[in-house]
Amino acid sequence: MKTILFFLFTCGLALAADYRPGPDAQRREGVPRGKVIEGAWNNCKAFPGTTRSYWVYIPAQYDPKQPANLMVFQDGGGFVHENGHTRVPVVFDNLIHKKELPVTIGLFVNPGSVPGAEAGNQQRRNRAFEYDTVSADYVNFIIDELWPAVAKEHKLVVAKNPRARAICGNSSGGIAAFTAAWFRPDFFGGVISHIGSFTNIRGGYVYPMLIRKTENKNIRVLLQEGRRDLDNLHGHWPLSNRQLSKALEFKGYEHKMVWGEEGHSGRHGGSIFPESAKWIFSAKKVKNVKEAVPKIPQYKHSKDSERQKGVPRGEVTQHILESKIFKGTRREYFVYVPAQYKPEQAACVMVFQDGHAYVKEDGDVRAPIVFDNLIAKGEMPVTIGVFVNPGHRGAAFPDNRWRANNRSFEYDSLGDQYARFVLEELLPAVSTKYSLSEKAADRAICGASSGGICAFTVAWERPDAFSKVYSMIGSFTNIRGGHVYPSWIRKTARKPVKVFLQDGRNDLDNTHGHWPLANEQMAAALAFMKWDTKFVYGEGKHNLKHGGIILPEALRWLWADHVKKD
Amino acid sequence: MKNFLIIGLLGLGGSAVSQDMPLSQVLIPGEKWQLVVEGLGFSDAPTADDKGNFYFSDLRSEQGLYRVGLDAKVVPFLKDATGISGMKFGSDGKLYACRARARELVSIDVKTSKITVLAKDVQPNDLVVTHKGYLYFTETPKKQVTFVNTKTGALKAADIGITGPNGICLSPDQGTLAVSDFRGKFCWAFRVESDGSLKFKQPYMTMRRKPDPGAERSVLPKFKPSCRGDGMIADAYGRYYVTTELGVQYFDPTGRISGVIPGPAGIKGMTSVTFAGPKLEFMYITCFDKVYRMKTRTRGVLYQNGPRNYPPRK
Repeated sequence: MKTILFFLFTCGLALAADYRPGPDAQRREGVPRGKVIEGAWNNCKAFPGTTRSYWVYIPAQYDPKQPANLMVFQDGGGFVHENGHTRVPVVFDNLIHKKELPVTIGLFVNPGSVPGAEAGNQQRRNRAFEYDTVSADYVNFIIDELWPAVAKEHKLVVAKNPRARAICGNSSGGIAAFTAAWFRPDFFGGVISHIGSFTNIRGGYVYPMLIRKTENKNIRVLLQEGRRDLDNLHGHWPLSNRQLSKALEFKGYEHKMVWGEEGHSGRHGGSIFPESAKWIFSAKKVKNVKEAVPKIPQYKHSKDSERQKGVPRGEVTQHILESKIFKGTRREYFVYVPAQYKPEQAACVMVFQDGHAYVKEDGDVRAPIVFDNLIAKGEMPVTIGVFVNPGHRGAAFPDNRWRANNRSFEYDSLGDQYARFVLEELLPAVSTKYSLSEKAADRAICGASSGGICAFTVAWERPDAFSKVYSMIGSFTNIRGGHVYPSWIRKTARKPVKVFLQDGRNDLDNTHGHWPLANEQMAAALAFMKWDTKFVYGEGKHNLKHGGIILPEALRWLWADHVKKD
Repeated sequence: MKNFLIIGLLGLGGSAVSQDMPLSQVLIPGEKWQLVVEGLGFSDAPTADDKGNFYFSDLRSEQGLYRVGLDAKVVPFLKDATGISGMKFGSDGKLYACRARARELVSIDVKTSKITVLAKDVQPNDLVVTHKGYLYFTETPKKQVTFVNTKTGALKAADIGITGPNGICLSPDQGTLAVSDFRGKFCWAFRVESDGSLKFKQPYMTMRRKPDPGAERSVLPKFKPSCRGDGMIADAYGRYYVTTELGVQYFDPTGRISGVIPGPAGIKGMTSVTFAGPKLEFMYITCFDKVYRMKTRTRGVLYQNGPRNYPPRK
């Protein structure tokens, strides 16, 4: 283990940008030194059985009559060390001396562990439990248990204003800092997170979604992150930090995102720490700068989406289905049957959500034309298209078919209810007239926006029934919890499903989430688990233009296993 | 101190020393669930002997127990050992078993098939035995984990309060006991004390649960309160495995969920999991009327062989 660590250390140095502690992290002559006092906390009430070390830094300038600022550090041992990545006591001594930082007390806390009862028994390590859990338990331990004891022992008084108290950490310690302020903004008003684990170690990926749908809290947040940070079973650190930063930006929080070039290391965060500390306690109101958006190109259909002479035309019929699974709903659906269909041979099937938009010959997608062309060329198998609208309650369907009133419930919900609808109601209804294959390899499913996540959900729940998914501008956001998929994918045995994803950089950024980042997260998670997947990332907005013109490409890729190679 | 320094310089806190345990360390690409036996009444109580032979119970069969040798053939095992819902071999070679319907905890001499009652009027569901002969069994309806010293016969409640204590297993060093909650979302961890009592109870592992689209809408999606956490086992690397309605879920030794392995399509559910085979490399699952196994990259751990440090030295 030690050699691995050493290897990582040297290797990291060789590859990475040159992040070093700056001049404010060097000892200077004539600068008064604060005291650093080590303690042990071994009768923990919040986390029974745990033992841990902590350190308190008391500036030389501290005057008990003047309430001081406070900064708390997770993994305190690393931050308090004078030759470490951040060297907080040195930085504080220098900045306080220069009057660039208010008189600030530091509390450096290590995570707990439960030692074994007998020799040879391993400790139960509590770091992930304390830092990565989305709950108030850890911050309450600091506020109600540890800090009062430390303050009493050393006669320390801190300012009442939460903006005079910040909390800081690296990695899981970073998300712990955010969690602390999120649950107790009455105590902590500032967060400094370096390489924060806003990922699925223990569910911390939910923050961007929580932030977007929760009333703003009076906290200021600094996020530092490296472009080469982790991409592992728990998540994708750079994307997750971007999602968090975008959510803070969307809600107008005072926040700052600092990007570096490194991987999962504390060096960059450490090197900028003097600036970060000054910023987090600065009296000035912080203004956010919005990122520029890329231009939207003209997306044009290819020949595969135009009628071609001599290509036989399939037939489209329209039907109505009443559902028992979605009780009280009715919906229209259209069945496209290719000219090459023969009743004695079970056809492949492709189901399109919001079918009305795909079945139109003058729309963005023009699926029947594309099917006619690709089937005639032998670039996809003989496939029956089922274009189904979302369910609607009420006598008449709405003029705008996207507004069917059961759409969000059916498409955005997690779970197997829509898959059951497709497999137990929709396809059996089509099967009364046409012979459909029941093999997963022969079935594909497609949709856009909420229909896109819906298509993925069907295959996720029933990979034994569907093996091919095309999602355009998919809503892998928190309309009804769809943001969970990237986290679930990374920790679920790979499913035998091909997934083609399309999205555009100008897609939505609203209360439910940030569509482009949500799709990037999906693509990254599928790639991490080595799914058979393709992601086409354009510049488009929340519409079917780009997804429509690449339908031929998506179909050729999805059905490649059915095409005979010469 | 050296560790502290290196970690400090690296700036990773403890994350560098919390080893990640992704699915790629457990699953072998291309390996699938293989059917071992079908047509059972209700299978449960999977376990292994020190040669890696696999055993399970059919709760609705007059035979009771079956043995699956290293040749993968299924043969009846012992006589009259019926109604067993959980069992493990002790370091004394005896088979310890829960007989829920008979409301008794028993030990079985595998040479003579003789059954000895260790405790009567109990409601045992599943059990684990340490190398010292400390036996812990779950009494699901009583919300209790009960301790029996198999050497003295002393019996006492070791924990009360988990809403549906069900599966139960030990870390490879036998210093930590884990219990799944059939009615809740956690697998709980305890420290095993020298006298057998359990201390420092903690909701250490949070299981993934099915979504509940029918629940009232809120900021974050709602999930079912429980995923029916059932049988548990650890492997030689200290991972904890639990069967649930979403599949086998596993956690790393620091309690972080690290993988969900769905069962084969079409099963009615799964009751328990264990490792068996020549190198303890097969993960066996009992699935109501069927038993499946899958070859894995990991290795099981046999408590009857004594405590083991983890992860194992290569």
